Order: sequence, then structure tokens, then C-alpha cells
Amino acid sequence: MSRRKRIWCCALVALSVHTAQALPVAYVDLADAYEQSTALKGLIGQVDGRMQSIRSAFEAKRDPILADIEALKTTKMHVDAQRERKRELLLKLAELEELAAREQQAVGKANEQATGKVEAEVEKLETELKQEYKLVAIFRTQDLLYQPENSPLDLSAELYKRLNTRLPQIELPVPPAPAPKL
Amino acid sequence: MLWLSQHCAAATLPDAQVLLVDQSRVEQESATLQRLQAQADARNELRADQRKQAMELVLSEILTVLPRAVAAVAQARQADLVVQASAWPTTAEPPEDATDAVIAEIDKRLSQLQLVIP
Repeated sequence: MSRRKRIWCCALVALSVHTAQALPVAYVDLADAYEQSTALKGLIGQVDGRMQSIRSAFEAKRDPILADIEALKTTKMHVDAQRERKRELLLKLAELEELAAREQQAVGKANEQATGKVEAEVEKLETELKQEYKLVAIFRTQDLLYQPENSPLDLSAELYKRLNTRLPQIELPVPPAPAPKL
Repeated sequence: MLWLSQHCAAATLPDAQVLLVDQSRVEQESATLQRLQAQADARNELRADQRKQAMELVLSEILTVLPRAVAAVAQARQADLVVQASAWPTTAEPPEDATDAVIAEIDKRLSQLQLVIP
């Protein structure tokens, strides 16, 4: 085969080898959102605080009821009266538990609302970055099967920087818990 | 001049070499899966739940090898990103689909895999 033909053959082989297509895309990694977003980090603190408050208030009311139930064992009382009293105390306990569960549910819902707002802001920022960088798409890492480490296509730092500027904190939308009775 | 250079220099990224992979096709069309499914079906002594668990183990092996297979294909094709086919926006022209290559890579790596009956 002449040298020219060999060169043409090599060129054709090179062209036929698969190469990936060059496109303007980027991605963000939201796995660390609760660490990187000051709003979400603050929100966890608020949720924990509210749950602790509900737990403390519940225990403050529950413990005297449990003590009364225990005391019934040694109280001199007619069996029927004792049974009735125990039933009343258990009912009170059940109502207390239900109230605590409802309060915890309310905190859960409020947390969902607040994280929803952060998510909405993240989506806005993704759209903004897509337009600014003139991208075909901006992905989240859960959409990817391969991305090298320290890729220049990772816009996470930029996204979090803007998120923490625009939404540095978010309030948990529930009323403050009543202080436990001493 | 400064304004011009600042605004022209802002917001650029290198174009990425992108491939698509359809993970659901990988999970269904792997020759390894089909080979071992045929083996499991031929074993008349197995109960249905044993066959199911055995195939779940096979699928688990495929999914374990998947990231390395994808990385190998990506590196061979000089790709910067491999995107799940389902995540690609429908409004944009899709890049090259490398699912067949990934399936072939997985099957090469699992050519010695045998059926394990739990």
C-alpha cells in the first residue's frame, strides 16, 4: 500500500473511532446540601430544638400521670374505683401522646414547607446558571453515571455561594412551643 | 475596555464530551443476565422464589460492575460526563448513546459469573 493510501486509511480509522459529542452542559451536587446551605443547616437546628421542646413538655406532663398510676397500686380503694381511676389516667396519657404526636407532625410539615422553599430557590438558581453559562442542560449528580473528580463542569460551589447569599437562613413556620409547666 | 473584558470573560465553561447510557436497558439486555436467566429457567428443581433471588443476585452483580464499566467506556471515548438517558432534556438534541458499549463491557467483566442459588 502506498504511503498516501496508508495515511488515508489511518485518517478514516481515526474518524470512525467513537468520540463523545462536545456540548455545553454542567452539573451540581446536592448531596451535601444540609452542610453547604446555611439555610438548611439552620433549619435542622430549629427542627431539633422544636422536637426537643415537644419531648420535654410531653415528659413533664406524662411523668406525674405515670406516678399516679404507680401510686394506685398501694392506695386503699375499692377495686372498681381503682379500675375507673386507672382508666381515666390512661386516657389522659393517651391524649397527651396524641397531642405530642400531632405537634411533631406539625413540625414535620413545617420542615417540609421550609425545605420546599429552599428547593424552589435551588431550582431558580439552576435555571439562572443554565442561562448565564448558555447550557443545554444542568444536571444533578443523581442524573449522572460518570463524572471525573474536580471537574470544571461542577457548578456546586457557585450554586451554594449564590444560595447562601440569597437565602442565608429560613424560619421554621410553626408557633413557638409553650414552656413546660414546672 | 475593562467592562468589556469582565463581561466577555464571565460565565464560560468548556464544552463537555457527553455520552448517554440507558440504565434500564443495561438491566434488561445484558447477555450475562439472559445467559444466567436461561440457566435458572432450565433448573427444574428450583422454586420460583429461589430463581427470583438468584436473578436478583445477578442483577446486583451487574449494578456493582456498572460504574466501572461506564468509567471504562467514558475514558475510552474521552467523555467528560455520562448522563442517564432518562435525564436528558427532550428539547435538546441527544448526544451519542453508549448503552451498547456499556452492556458489552459489563458482559466482558462478568463472563465468568455463575448462578448462585441462595
